[in-house]
Amino acid sequence: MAEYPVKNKMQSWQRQYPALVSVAAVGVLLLLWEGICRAGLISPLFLPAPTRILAALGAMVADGEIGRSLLASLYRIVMGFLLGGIFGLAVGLVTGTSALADRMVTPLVNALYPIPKIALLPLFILWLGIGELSKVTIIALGVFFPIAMNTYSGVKNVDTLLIKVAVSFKANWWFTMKHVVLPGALPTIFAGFRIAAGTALLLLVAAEMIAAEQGIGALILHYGDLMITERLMAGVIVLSLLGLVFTLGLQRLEQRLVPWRRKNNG
Amino acid sequence: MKLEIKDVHKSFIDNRGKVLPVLEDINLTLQEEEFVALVGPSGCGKSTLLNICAGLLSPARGSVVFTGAEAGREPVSSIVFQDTGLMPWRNVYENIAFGLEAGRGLPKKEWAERIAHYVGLVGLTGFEKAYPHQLSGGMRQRVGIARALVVSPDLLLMDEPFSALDAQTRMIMQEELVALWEKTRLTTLYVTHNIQEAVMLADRVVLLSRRPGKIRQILTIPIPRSEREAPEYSAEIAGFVRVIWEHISKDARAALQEVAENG
Repeated sequence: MAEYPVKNKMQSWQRQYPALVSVAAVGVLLLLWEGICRAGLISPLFLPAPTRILAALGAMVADGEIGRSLLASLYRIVMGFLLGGIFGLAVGLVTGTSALADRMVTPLVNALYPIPKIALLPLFILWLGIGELSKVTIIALGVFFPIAMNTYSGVKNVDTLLIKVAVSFKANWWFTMKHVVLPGALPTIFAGFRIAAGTALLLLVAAEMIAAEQGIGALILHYGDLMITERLMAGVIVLSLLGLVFTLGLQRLEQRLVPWRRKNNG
Repeated sequence: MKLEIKDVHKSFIDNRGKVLPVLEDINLTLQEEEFVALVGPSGCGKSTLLNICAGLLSPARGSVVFTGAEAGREPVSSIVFQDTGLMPWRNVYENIAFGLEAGRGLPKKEWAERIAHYVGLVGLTGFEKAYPHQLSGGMRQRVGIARALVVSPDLLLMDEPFSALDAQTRMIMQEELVALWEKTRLTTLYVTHNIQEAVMLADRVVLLSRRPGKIRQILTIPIPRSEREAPEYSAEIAGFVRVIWEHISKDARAALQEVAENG
């Protein structure tokens, strides 16, 4: 005869750690990096120490270089995102709800989607000139597809039961759209926004490296050419922060607009 | 072999950081070949207790122990989940084989025979190649039961297995479970909020109070299980149901009062 206590087999899945652990992990990594650089194991040309990068960033902020570049980049990405977002949302909603539009437009969207958008930049420069418009357009185009496609599938996946409820209460098309279809599709639409944010950032930098005097992408390329690595990396940090702000902003917006869908992780 | 639940406590922390006691002072022993039903209003922690017995959750205090077990072989417990938990990408046969695959206890050449036996026992013969989405709710839960039984468990834990089914299917499944249980006579812990179901199935019905869940009362149902459908017992069955409902409804009212006072 023997006794066997019941042990929790889910323990490793249920274990939780405080947020401080993340901070500590990043801290250790940075310290390690700094140590390696100070010891002179790697030439600062290839990998400058974190403190030097930070100092360079500070100097660039102080003399207004970062401010000017960031302003130029922000203008392009915000305009591109808004433009692409509005068109994407509209096309997604219409193709998702109208069978005719679905038949007419969806094949076109699917056919154009796989084109790497940056390949179209020379064409846009030819059409729209080398100024802001060509860069804004390329970002808008990159943002348009993920948002249009996610809106489409979000609308298609709205629970038919909820639409039946609306129709049974004699709701008209607009009312059903606004109060049933759009809220139902919002979580999927936001997934599209998140993908689009990444695409927008990528296209922004690529376009600025190809054809811009100002902007974070141009700045990074410039310091790369001059082999001033810490300034190059300072530019990368600004990009990373820009991406972070974008993601956080979208998250906040989603929490505001989709309060009925709480995520339990992250 | 018995399952002893000793002095189990459990609490959760809600999203405002407040500690919610869920289970308090739970002491209960499941005898060999006993069918125990846990009944209580929603939020009484009955599923939490089942999860602790299943080793899917740690108690804050206390322990759950198999006693009088054969030495050298750790007892096996199987769970039948409320929402079946079938893998959508596996067909019926593969779903039932899951436990055998994961547990690696039985030689592979013996699987087919064992699975065929349980497929027959739950009445799924001919559906082995079907995917879960092609089956009705009742059929799906039969797969869930077969999957639990095929690993030859010492303890069967059922967490509201029929609560997602319609009333008629539910009645049929209950009758089938009685017949099945008489064949296997597995020690069983059965969680339900359906009083009628508890009285029809269990040797003992354990009543839990609402938050924190404490054992309020334990009723022994002396009527032989296979005869509980018989008309001559219907009055006695109805009596048990009424007694349990009186206890639970008292609790539900107390809970309402509680909310009113807090608000």
